[in-house]
Amino acid sequence: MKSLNNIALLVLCSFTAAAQSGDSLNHNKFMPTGIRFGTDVLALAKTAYDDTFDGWELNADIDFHRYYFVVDYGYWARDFVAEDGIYSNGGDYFRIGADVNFLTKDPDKNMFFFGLRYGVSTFSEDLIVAKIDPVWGPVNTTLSNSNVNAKWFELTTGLRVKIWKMIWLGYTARLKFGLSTGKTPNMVPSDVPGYGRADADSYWGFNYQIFVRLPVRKSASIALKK
Amino acid sequence: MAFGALNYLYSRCLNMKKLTWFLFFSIFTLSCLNEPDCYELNNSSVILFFKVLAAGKDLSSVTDQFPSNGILSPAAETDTVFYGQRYVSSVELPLNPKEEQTTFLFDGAYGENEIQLGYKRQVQFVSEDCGERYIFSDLQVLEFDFDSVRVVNPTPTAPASTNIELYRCPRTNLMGIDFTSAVVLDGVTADFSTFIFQPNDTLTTIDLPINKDQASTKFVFNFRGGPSKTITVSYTRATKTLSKICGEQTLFSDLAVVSTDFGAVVLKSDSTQDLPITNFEITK
Repeated sequence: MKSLNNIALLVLCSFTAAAQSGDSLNHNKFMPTGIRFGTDVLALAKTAYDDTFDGWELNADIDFHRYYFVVDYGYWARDFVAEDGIYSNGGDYFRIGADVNFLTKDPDKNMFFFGLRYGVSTFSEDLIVAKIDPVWGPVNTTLSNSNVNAKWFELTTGLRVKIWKMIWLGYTARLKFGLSTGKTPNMVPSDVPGYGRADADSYWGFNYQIFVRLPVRKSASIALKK
Repeated sequence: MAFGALNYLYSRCLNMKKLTWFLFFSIFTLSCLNEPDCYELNNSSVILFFKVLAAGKDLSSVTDQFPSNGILSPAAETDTVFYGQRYVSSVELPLNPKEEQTTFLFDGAYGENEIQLGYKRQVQFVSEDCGERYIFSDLQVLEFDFDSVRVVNPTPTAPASTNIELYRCPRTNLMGIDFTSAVVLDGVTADFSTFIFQPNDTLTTIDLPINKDQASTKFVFNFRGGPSKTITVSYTRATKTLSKICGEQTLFSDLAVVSTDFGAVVLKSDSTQDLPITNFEITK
């Protein structure tokens, strides 16, 4: 409950700050100026150095003045070998949502943002258990969940910085919460692609991203500067 | 290059710098707190609590002390005996993760009882360090031969808490005797039974059943390496329904010594109770 209150307060602050910026609504301001495509560098690095993880993530956003419509799509799979069992999963996920930029006067459209996401994942997982219980003897079982759907919400914050021409870097920190999964009568989901540990009420995520921004028109601030 | 880019942004928005660093390190700190504690994850045990029906002052239930010779489950691969040779007011027992039901047999000083528990079980992988965990829920009693049972909490917890209460009817005919010093017994016999109570035991306290069908009972105490001694007690009987489940029961009062060859017998309480109290204090 406390975390929900914190989330609500943060969202309220974000929108209050946005409302107090005093921008006069101008239809031209809401015309998109560019589309940004990117990928999560941390996911690629983790795939390279972490034997238990395999994944990637693509990101895209488009601006409507200080508001950005955001879409993420990714895949992750995990393989864990424990003392008495082997677990593996894999699945796709996507997120849609919006960010609010708080650096509206930056001529390069650099961003410090807060945002919201709605995430959806479809995944499968397998678990093989082989152990000796001190009371009940050998326990050998194989369990599977196929095409399980999961949904959750995210509160995000981060930076987007123009590095050179069309190249941008940034990070996104995510507070994930409100996970719900489809019915899985025999095995409770352990790891949800895009979310993380399924037994956590909330979960932190972090992406370090590299983007290419394709301009579709000049922004009002750049036009004015010229 | 990447952090240079961030610094570039910080220089452009100095008022955001502290906030950004704060968020950055908060996230990394919090991400380290997500590893679970393995020992808190399993809820594979249930606690069964022993109670006596209608034995309290207002006929409420009271906590029992179950005289356990041992508790076992037929499904156990090993000859595991839980809680052997001791008095217990509650027992924590493991549920069988291989089946959706577990039977427990209770071997007590006053007889044997059985209970069969049903439940749902699910498995969840936790981590490489913790392995998997079993999640038990919807606990119910499928069969039992205790006088009564009650499911208090159908969801086992970690750490375990009371899930089921096991009730028995009061044993109204148990008379308590304290010895002023420890005695070594070969056994005690009563004039209405061939059973030998407390064989080969060294004790200072003994609970003995008195005859419901007669107004007095004679006991013979066979002491090891010494002469036997007797005591005959008389009492008044009355019948009363303490609870619907137990029906009509005989209550005993006005206890008194009719005859004895013990050195001294002092009356401490002239009625029986469950759990038994001291009715007589005996000096050998």
